[in-house]
Amino acid sequence: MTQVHLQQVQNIKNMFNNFKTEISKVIVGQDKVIDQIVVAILCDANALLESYPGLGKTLMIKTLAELMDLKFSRIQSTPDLMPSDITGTYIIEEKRGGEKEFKFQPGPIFANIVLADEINRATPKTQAALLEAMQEKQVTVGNSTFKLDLPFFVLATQNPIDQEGTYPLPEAQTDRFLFKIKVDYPSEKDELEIVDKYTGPAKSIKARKFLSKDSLINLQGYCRQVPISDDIKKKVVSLVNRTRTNKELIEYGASPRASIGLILAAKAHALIHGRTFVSIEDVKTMAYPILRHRIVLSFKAEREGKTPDEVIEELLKKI
Amino acid sequence: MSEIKYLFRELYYEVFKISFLHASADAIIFFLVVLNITNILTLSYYVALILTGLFFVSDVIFRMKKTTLQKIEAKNPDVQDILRTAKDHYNEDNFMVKAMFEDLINRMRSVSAGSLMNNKELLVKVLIMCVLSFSVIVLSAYDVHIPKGVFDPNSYAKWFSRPSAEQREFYGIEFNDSDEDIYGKPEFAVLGNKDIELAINPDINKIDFDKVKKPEDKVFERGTFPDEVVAISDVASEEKLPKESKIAIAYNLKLKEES
Repeated sequence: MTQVHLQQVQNIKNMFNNFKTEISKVIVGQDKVIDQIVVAILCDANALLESYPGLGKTLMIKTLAELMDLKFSRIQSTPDLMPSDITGTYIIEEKRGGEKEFKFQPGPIFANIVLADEINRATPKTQAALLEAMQEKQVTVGNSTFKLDLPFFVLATQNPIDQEGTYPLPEAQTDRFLFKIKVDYPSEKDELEIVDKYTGPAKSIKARKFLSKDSLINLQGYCRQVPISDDIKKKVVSLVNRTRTNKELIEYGASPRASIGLILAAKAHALIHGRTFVSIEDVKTMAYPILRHRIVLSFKAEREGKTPDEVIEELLKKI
Repeated sequence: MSEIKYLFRELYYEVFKISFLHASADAIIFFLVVLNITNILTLSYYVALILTGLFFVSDVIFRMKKTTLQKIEAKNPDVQDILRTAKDHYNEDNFMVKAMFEDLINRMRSVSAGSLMNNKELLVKVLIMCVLSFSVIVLSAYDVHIPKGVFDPNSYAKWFSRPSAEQREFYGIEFNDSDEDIYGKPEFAVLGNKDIELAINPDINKIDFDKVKKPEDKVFERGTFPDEVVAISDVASEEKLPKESKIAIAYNLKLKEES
């Protein structure tokens, strides 16, 4: 029997392995973070990266965009950033005959991968404009609506420290990010490698392009086709439902959007690891970035010093 | 799609093979146990054969029903998720589902009869068979059986041949065991109660005209026959008649005179 389809899935796995090898030329360690960002991209969803400054978030996302042959833009969020600075605005343009007309000047949102750096430093009004674009994949300026080029992802970052003068994203808005990815400090060994890489003689590190826009869109289609058993689907729904019913540890639980996101993420995780079906391990791996920003811990859990990840771990033990 | 249907058929066949093997081992053990009992009780070995046949059929059916998909998954945890997923997406037809079916076929090659079979259990059964076979030989060699005084199989066999209540009633009279000595077996008596269809062969009455001979010519001479035939009553025999018969004759004569 020919195994054309299975071979193609193995090719997808090999491609992502090469992709990681290529990205590791620029980013040392952080395999888990890279996996999660790739999963978010395959799910056609947005991710919020949280880490302390100086861990290479911006470089990581920029490199990813380059590897995928996608148009990349960066928005540095500040309190004086206006929505029009993101979406674009109409400018007056003078034609040859002296005639003047309004012409739309697209903002940095018109890209495939948008890095919204330190999103919590932007005002709620600007945050809302960005989040609308994330959700609708279109922007409205004046009376005109402009469709964004697909694929479109927003990868936002925020620092957990230095909260003064910031506008933390409300829970309802963080829910629009499929993932909340925590970027941890590298290990000592990795840090030594980073130091070697960036303190030696200056040399440009060039990464190869791996994915075209079209192939990425195809992969997103395959990702949704990854079969999942009814049994695992029920477990996912039960897990998300338990975040709403476990009042002892969780004040507010996750919405059905979390169930959808978790199943999609598990499918994408299975695909990039060359599996043709979703296993419970895929669900368990993806549960942390999907649920950690969607649950609000109870007073008791906070008093006991529990983190959202610890609470998720307890919930996962029961499925 | 046809490959995956073939795969599930193969899986069913594997389950049947294992069930058949285990049921055969169980049936042999059962047969040897029953054979030992029949030897001791001096019963026919047909009893053991019939009971073993029934046990074997029911055991195969029971094992087939018991060996569900969950059992196969439990024995092969590496195929558990893919097997369940394949079952839920049996009728779907897209790139990833096709890839999954191909993957499943690859993985199921390792799920052969061997992985479903508990070798330890089978080894224990073989050992039990050896012990039981040895006991059959020993019991036969030393002619070990319960004495007829303690257990007479024929007396129990009679229980099985007892006629039903319907059979034991004849003309309203219920037969007891002791009555059999006087009247014989009740089932024979019942025969008299039944309609008998007699078919008379019409061929017997057929006349073969070819074989009919012509009447012989006979010459009758005058004076050959007596002129008068007179019947004379046998007085001597009349005297020997019982009293009741004489009364009856007298009564008949009286009636004749009056009419």
